[in-house]
Amino acid sequence: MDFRVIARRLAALGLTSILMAACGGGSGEGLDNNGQPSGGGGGGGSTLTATFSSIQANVFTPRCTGCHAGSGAPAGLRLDAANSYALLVGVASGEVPSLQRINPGRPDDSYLIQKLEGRAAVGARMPFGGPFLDDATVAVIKQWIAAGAAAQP
Amino acid sequence: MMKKILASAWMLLACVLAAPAHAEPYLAVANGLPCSSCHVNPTGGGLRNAAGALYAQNALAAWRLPDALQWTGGIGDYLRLGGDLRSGETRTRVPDQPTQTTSGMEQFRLYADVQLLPGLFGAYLDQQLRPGRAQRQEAYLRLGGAARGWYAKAGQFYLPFGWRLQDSTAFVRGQSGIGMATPDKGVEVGFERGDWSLQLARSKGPGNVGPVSGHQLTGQAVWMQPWGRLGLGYAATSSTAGDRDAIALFGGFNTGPLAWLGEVDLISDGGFSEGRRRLASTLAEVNWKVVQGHNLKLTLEWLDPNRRVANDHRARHSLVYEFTPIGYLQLRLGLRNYDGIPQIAVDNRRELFLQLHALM
Repeated sequence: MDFRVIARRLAALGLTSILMAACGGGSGEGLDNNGQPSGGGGGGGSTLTATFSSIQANVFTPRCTGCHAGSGAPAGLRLDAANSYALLVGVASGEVPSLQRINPGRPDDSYLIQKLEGRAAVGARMPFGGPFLDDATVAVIKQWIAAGAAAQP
Repeated sequence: MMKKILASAWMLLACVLAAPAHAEPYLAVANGLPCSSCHVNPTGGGLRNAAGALYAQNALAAWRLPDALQWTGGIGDYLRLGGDLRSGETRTRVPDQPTQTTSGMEQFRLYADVQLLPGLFGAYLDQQLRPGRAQRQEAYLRLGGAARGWYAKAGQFYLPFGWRLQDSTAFVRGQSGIGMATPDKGVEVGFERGDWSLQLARSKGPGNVGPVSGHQLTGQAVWMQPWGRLGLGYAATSSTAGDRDAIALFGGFNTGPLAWLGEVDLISDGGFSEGRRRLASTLAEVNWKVVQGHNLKLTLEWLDPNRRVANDHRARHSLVYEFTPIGYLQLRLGLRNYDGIPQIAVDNRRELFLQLHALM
C-alpha cells in the first residue's frame, strides 16, 4: 500500500480519536438554568406559569434561542429576552402575514401556537427538528395569550 | 373529499415522475468530482442531472434495476423533474421526561428544471409540498452552466457556504443560518475552472425579514483534487438587527472505502442584546461504504454558543446506517446523542430514528 495512503488513513484515525475525546458537553459550572453566567441577568428557569417572564425563561430562552437569536435568526424572529416580546405580540407572521405571531386574547389564531402544535399552514413544526413542547407547556402559553399576552404579570 | 383525491393523485404522479434528488456531499468527495457532475444546481443539492441519476441507480444502489426501469428524470430535451419524499419515525428521550414519538411525512419536495435555451438559459424550481401548504424553496433563472465554466442565477436559492448537508439541524448549518432550510433572494455568479470552484452571491440575508432589513454577501472558494477538496466560505451580513460575519473552513478527503468531511465555522454576531457574540461550531463526518448500497455514517459535532462564556458548549454524536436497495429508495436508521450542560435537559437527549426516502 502506498505510503501516502497509509499516512492519510493514520491522520484521519488520529483526528477522529481527538475529536471523539474532545466532543463532550460543557460542565455547566457557573451557569444558570438557561446556560447563562449565574448572576449575569440571564434569568434562570423555574416553574412555568402563564406570564411572559416565566415563558421567556422556561421556553423561549432554553428552547428557541439556539436558532432564533442574533441577526441571523430565521425569519428575523429573535426570541432572546431583549427582543422576543416586541417581535411576537401583535406582529404579522412572515410566513402567513394575515396572522399575527401572537394575537392577544386569541391563542388559536396566533401563528406561534400553530407552529408549536404543528398545524401551521406553512413550514415545519417548531422547535425545528424536535423534540416538541408537551401539551401542558403549550397550554400555559395559550393561557397567557388568552389573558391578553401582557408583558408584565 | 375532492381536494384530498386531487392532492393524492398529484403526489402519486409526482412520485412516479420523480428522479432521485438530495444532497450528499460525501459522494462528491468519495468520487473526486465537483457537485455539478451530478446536480443540475452548480453548487449541489436538489435535482440530479442525467449523470447523477444514472450514478444513483447503478453505482450507489445495492441492486441495479433493469434498463427498462431506469429513468434519468428527463422529459425531452427541455424538461427535467425530480422529487424527494421523506417519511419516518423519531423517538426522543429527554432525561426525566416521557419518551416522545413522532411519525409521519417529514418532507415532500418536487424539483423541476426547464432548459429554455439548452445549456445557456434555464429556470429551476424546488417546491416544498409538505409539511403545510406548498412553499417555494428555490426558484431562479440561470444563465450559463457548469459545462460553460460559469453561471449566473437570479431569484431565490440556497446560499453557497460550507458543506451543503441534508441535515439542516447540524450545528454548522443551524449556527451559520445558511443551509437548505434557509433560501434567500438575490443574485449569484459562479466559476468552475480547473481545480477551482468559486461562487459569490449578493442577497437580502435569510434573517432580514419583516421589520429587520439589510443585505448579505456570501462567497466561497473550493480547491478540488482527486483525493479530496478544501474550501473557504465567508458571509457578511449588514442588518438593522446587527451586523454579522461568518467564516467556514471546510474540506474532505477519501481513503479507500472511507470518505471524510470536516467543517469549522466561526461567527461574530452583533445582533445580541449584550453586544457582539462570537460562536464556533464544528463538524467531522466519516462515511464508510461497507459494500455497495450500504453506508455507515458517523458524525461528531461541537458547538460553543458563546465563546466568552466557559463550560457552555454542546456536542452531538450521530451514527446512521443508510441502505439504498435501489436507486429510487433509501432507508436510514440512526442514533443521535446530544451532550450539553446538565442544567438543560433537552440538550442531553437521545434520538432514535428510522427514515424512508422514497424517490420514485
